[in-house]
Amino acid sequence: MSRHGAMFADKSRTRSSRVLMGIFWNYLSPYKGLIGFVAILTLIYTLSVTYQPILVQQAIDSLLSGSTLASLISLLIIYTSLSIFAWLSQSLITWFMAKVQNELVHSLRVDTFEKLSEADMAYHAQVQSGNVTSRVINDTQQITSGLNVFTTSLTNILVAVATLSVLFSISFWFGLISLLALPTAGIITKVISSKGKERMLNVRSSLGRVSGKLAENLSGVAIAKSFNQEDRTSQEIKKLNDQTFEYFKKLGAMFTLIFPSITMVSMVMISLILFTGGYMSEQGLITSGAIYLGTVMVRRFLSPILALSNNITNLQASLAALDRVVDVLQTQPAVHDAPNAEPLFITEGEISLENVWFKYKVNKVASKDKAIASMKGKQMAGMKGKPMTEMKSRMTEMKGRSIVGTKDNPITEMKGRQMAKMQGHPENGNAIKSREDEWVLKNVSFVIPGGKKTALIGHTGAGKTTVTKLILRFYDPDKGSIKIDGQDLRSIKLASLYDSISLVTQEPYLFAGTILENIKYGRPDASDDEVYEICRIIGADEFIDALPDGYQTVISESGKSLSAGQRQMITIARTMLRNPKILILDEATSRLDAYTESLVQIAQNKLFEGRTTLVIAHRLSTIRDVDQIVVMDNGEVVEIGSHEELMAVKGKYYELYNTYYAHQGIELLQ
Amino acid sequence: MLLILRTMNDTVGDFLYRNGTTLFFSFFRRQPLKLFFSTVLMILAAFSSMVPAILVGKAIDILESEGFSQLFIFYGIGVLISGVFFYLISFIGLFTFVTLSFSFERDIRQEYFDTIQSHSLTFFDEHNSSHLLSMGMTEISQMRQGIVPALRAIMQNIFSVLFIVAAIYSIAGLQMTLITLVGFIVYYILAVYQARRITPVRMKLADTAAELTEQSQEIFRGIDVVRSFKGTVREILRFRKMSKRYSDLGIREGRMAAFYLPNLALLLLTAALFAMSVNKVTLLQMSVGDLIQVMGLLVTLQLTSMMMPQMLLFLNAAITNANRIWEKMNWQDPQPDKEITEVPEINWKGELRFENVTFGYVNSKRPALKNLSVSIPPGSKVALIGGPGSGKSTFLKLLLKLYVPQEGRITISGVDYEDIPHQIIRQHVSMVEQEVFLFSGTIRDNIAFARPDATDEEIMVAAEAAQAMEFISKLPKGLDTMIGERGVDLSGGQRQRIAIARAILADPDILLLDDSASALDSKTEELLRKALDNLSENRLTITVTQRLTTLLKADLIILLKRGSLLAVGKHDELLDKCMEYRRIFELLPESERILAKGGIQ
Ligand SMILES: Nc1ncnc2c1ncn2[C@@H]1O[C@H](COP(=O)(O)OP(=O)(O)O)[C@@H](O)[C@H]1O
Ligand SMILES: Nc1ncnc2c1ncn2[C@@H]1O[C@H](COP(=O)(O)OP(=O)(O)O)[C@@H](O)[C@H]1O
Ligand SMILES: [Mg+2]
Ligand SMILES: [Mg+2]
Repeated sequence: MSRHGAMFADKSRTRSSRVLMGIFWNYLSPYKGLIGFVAILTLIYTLSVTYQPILVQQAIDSLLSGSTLASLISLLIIYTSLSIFAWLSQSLITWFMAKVQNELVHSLRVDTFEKLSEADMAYHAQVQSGNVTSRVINDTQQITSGLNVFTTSLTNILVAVATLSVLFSISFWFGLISLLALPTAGIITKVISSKGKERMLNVRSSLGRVSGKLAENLSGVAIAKSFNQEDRTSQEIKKLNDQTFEYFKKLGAMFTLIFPSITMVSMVMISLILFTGGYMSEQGLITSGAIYLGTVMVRRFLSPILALSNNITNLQASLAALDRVVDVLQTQPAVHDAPNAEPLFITEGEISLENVWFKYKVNKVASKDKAIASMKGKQMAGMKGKPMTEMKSRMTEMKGRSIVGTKDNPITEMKGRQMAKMQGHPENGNAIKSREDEWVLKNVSFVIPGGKKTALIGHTGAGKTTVTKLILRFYDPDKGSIKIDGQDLRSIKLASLYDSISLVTQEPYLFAGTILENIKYGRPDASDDEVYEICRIIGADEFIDALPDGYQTVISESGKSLSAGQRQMITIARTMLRNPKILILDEATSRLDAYTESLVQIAQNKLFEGRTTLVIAHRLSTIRDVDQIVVMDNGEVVEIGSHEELMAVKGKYYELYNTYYAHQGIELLQ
Repeated sequence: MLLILRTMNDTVGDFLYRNGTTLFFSFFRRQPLKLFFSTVLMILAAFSSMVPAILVGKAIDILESEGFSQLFIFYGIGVLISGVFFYLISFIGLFTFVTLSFSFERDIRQEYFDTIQSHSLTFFDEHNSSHLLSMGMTEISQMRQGIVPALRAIMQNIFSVLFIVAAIYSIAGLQMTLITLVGFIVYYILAVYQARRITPVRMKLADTAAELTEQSQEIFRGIDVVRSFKGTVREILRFRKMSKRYSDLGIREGRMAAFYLPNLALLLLTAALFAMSVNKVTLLQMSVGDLIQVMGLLVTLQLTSMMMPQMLLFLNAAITNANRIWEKMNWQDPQPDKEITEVPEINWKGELRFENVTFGYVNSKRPALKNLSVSIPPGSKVALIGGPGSGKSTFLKLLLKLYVPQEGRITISGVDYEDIPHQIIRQHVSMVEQEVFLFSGTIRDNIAFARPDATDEEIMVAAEAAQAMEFISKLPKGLDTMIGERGVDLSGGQRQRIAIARAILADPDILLLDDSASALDSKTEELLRKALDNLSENRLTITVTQRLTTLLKADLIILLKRGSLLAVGKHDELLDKCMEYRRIFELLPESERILAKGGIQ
């Protein structure tokens, strides 16, 4: 696993480091001046901290040769000034880099967000929102921390070079001894990157399991209580928790070895310097001050070397993140306005599908994202306890962690999944999404007459929802065309399409915010009274009034305290308020009780009298009065006609209708 | 089990910790022996890390006076030995301490979960579950970081400082010692002040990061809605604003960390001690070797102090988090359970009564149930109906004692619910909830949830009765098929039938069915109805439903409206006497067929 992890950073990348650096440099270009200045400050810092021990050495040697205090005053003043210089230059670096870093991550983040919010629906259908967000938040942060790594590496290189040259200038042997730091750093880095990575991964995935279980048990707390199983859920957590502790201990053992080892090596080097220096001093080759300088410098040489080798791994991670973000930034959505697109002009509101063929294709960017997600394995969400921090606790580190911390939200993700499972496909549970090579719509042709009500029915998986997605141009058909009042969807401006068509989706989706805001989502300028009116007409006012703050009630956790039916009512109100010329309802009332559903239906008939309406429904009782029924089966249109006509044909519709009523259990009573 | 639960609740949360800070520092009380051991080793390590600086100084003095002598070699070997010594004790001490901190993290996480799980559902209504989760994971991890690396580094630093002060006293006398002391005191005061100033900004930064993530995730989860309602541009602007806010905050925090005064204090202290030592050497009060010792000690200290600002911030964050966590653990129920000393004898097959029950959720201004009185004869099949939000689910939750009414009472065979421990109630009452929740694990685990000791035979019987065996047997691994996260996706109807099997296996005296209103396809609906019929045999059953058949066959129909009882009776009675019921009934699919036939007689 760790092997793969290590290789992954390079393998998954599609661009060379040079190309990526070039792109990165473009983002940095507004700060070129600042960065130049920071480079100068870094130089000042390095020189100051390197020169200070030399001053001490000079002081020692002149003291040994009997100098007076007066002759050393200037040396002491320089020493003190260098302290202040070092402090000032480091402070200024931090000060300026704070601006560069934060602004840089901001612009990357906003660009990525913008691109992704305009990305193809095919992408979003395939990548979980948590992973999309990870692109926007974590990757951009990772890229920027690469900048930080870069600047600290620069300092480290300068310090290492300066220190080493001082050591060599004292004595060739001192220089050689200090080179012992290199194999030490090499071994430690090797250990960290092989064993360390593996143990770290174990800790992470184990923490991920704790987090997943915790999320689950928090969601299921009512069930655990209802069945008196609290100590069982507690034991489940305990088991995972204990296991995580064991992994943590293994990781801890490794990391606690590092610091003492470094110290020990540096002490070994000091004593070597001492022996060599003493021997050389005996021959009159070296002063006592120089020996002191050697012991200080040799110690200072080790840490930048260690930091450097550690940083290379970090830099790799940043480049990989940049590569992923560039993927996003350079992708052109397949569905976009044609250059000569015109606004949609609706007269009748007639929609016609002409020989439409369609299949779901794997989205390129999405498949890469998925590879990453599965690579990260089940080290799901919520776990951020990055024990690495003990090693490299830098300022940005903590910021990074707090973000990683909120990364994906297992509760909402889980809820989403549970909801989707619970309500998405009521019938074919084990259904797998269609395979790449399978047509989902096969030569579908029908007309939804303007100003009339059409119903689309068929088994789950027949392709009904897919038809609505094509009408909204979330996807383009592979063959054939879709026209509204004779205008091909591909020739009109997308924005104008959404002005005229509104869809109530199968999954009710609410945003964080008040109920009022949610209903006004499609028309922020609507008055409150309009909202109240719509809710009254569809019968939603009753339960909204009963909520703690009525219309001002804040929806939390996608509507946790609302039932699925209530959530659905809000989405219906949202669409109705929008008052579109064409309305599409995709099983929009499936979660309502039959009574409330009829209220909605009555309201809908009243409000959308004379407009084009497409309804998809499970309860066949709700569609008997429509003008036209289209029956789909397995991606094909099999029958079209009115209720009476289709009943007379005794085909698919007749069959569907009869099984539906047979199972209402009416005849059992007769 | 009852006892275990009670004692657990009481000791954790209630008495153990007076506040978050005590919670945090409870670390020291947990394994005092090990802690003492590792602290002693840490002191020794701090000592031995200072030894080379002293030995180097002494060695150079020897070199000046005796040359490359045996004593000089002795000092050199001393450095080597102290290196190995440091390596050993430092590792043992550190590892012990680190292990302690990890077990602290583990224990706090467990206590946290056990404690909040024992809170009533009101707690979970009040709190956002993602926040509870991130508290249990991130914030508890950060609490541990307050111990390792933070507290450990701070302790080590303080030991080093004490050691240096002592060393300077023996080398250079009182005057320089006092200056060193003052210098360090200034250093610590400045460092603590600075950490206090930055901590709130950091906390805010973390919260903003969380908000930003939530916002982004929310948009992408609902991207189809955003797009079709033309919200994209609006959302981009909103995100940009939030991101800018975050970035500004980040700049502010970064700049606060610049010009870190404690470091300047430390540097100036070093310069001052350097000057004073030089002066003393010229006055022949100190040897050059002594000067080297002083400088060596200070350089060593600077190295160990480099992390101090970060460590103090970690510590502050840990204590703040500990307080947040403690608050959740110490949550006080507005309606605490009554102390029950003696469990009364109860006939669970008796009459169930609501007497003037009024109940409102914590954050609601209107009660979900108002002054509700109804009596349900033993063994009845009850249908509960009413519009959305009328209080049907609430009615059922009260029967499970998941909530307790604010006014009035619920009785079973005349015994007040208040006098029955909720564990007992939940042994006799079971619910199939509206939106089925299944745990990840096998289908078997889920069905046997209430009775982990159930035999295969029993599980199969339950699954059979729930009409679930039919689809389970078609799955590749049957009952051992994993569901959830890593397993197969089940459809709504399948999930419901597993929940029904779960309830059947629990074999309750009173069964509550919060039937999902979701439209299912006809075959599933048929199976489900059969399953429900099987389930309700021989017990008092209360079903929330819109199914015609259930209404027609019910012994009692309870009609709720806005939390009040509108009508109660059998179908035919209600059809005659209650306009509202008639209206609802007429709107149900195919009701006209039945009305035309004049009912079911
Ligand atoms: N995003 C997607 N990717 C791949 N396949 C999909 C996707 N969405 C739906 N499908 C598949 O397309 C077929 C038609 O689905 P859908 O249009 O949702 O049917 P319906 O709405 O009639 O139940 C099904 O086989 C389904 O599994
Ligand atoms: N956990 C909760 N917190 C606050 N209010 C709630 C909660 N659950 C339900 N409610 C409110 O209590 C009322 C009754 O809800 P409920 O019993 O779920 O109705 P029903 O099951 O009849 O649809 C509604 O106004 C609902 O919004
Ligand atoms: Mg569909
Ligand atoms: Mg309900």
